[in-house]
Amino acid sequence: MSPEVEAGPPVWAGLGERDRAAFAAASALVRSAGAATARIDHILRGFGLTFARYEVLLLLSWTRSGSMPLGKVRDRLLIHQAAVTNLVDRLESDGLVRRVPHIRDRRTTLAEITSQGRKVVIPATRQIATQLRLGISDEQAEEVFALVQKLRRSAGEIGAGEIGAGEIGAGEIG
Amino acid sequence: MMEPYAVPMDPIAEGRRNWVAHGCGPVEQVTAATALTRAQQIATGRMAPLLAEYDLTFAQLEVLVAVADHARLVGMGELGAMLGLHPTTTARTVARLERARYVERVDDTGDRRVTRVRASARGLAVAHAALTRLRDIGFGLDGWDEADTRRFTGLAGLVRGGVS
Repeated sequence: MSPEVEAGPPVWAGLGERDRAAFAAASALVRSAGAATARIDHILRGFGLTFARYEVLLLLSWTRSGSMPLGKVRDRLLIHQAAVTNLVDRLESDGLVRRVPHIRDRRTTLAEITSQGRKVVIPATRQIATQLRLGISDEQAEEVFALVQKLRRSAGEIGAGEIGAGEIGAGEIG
Repeated sequence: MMEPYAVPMDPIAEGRRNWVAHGCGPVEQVTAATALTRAQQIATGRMAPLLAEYDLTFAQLEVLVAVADHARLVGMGELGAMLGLHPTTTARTVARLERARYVERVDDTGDRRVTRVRASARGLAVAHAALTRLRDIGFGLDGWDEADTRRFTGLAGLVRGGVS
């Protein structure tokens, strides 16, 4: 048996440099997203959290009542209902969140952050703010955000006039 | 059935505003991480239905293309290094592609410790067909021109996982 591959149709036949570049970008996207998640998961490991569960806690901690309907959690985190269910299940079994019925609408269930959840989310946030370095500068990170906003705009996820990186100054808020 | 809730125009920008408003600290790195995660969901969400027709995931296609792109046999270690994959991931993906008869393992005649792989004729045809289909949807990156694409690849290539 010959160790050489027989001359077949080249895999990139009919495709150009532009297509190779796009494939490389898609690969880079998948890899970098995985790497970013791994970095945050690593920082959060000491708190018994993952990036996904932390995002739920953070979202709840920012509400006045400390609670939010599960459907709203789904919409705000851009994830599926099944994912919300899994994340809240795990947070609930860890005592960081509890499910409570909506006062006026009994069909609606809220996720509510517990005092233990609040105790965890504050130092976890501090740790991310001080330790998260993706390997790119803050300026490059803003560039990544601006590029991603273009993709999201084209996907119809955000409007054409939506605020993006560089258009919002940290000093203008709070 | 959940009722729709009033969603801010952009939940990521809203999260960014909240992070700053609550004095959580520097916001750039965590925004980029969130944005990358979302962009990946968008791009793979667009590509997955097309790839499913070939019984492939994007990660499997990457390995198949890397193998098919070589006019010679590729060693498993070399393949993993080329794609930045963990040896276990490489082995698992190759095993999956082998079951689909897209790649073949060939024992090195000179060194029995080395396993090399090559694309089958079927694997080559599938890789080519899948790439052509993905080309038609811009590899899920609709919204980027060529300059954006290249700029992004450069930036994303700097992003590293694991411990700092």
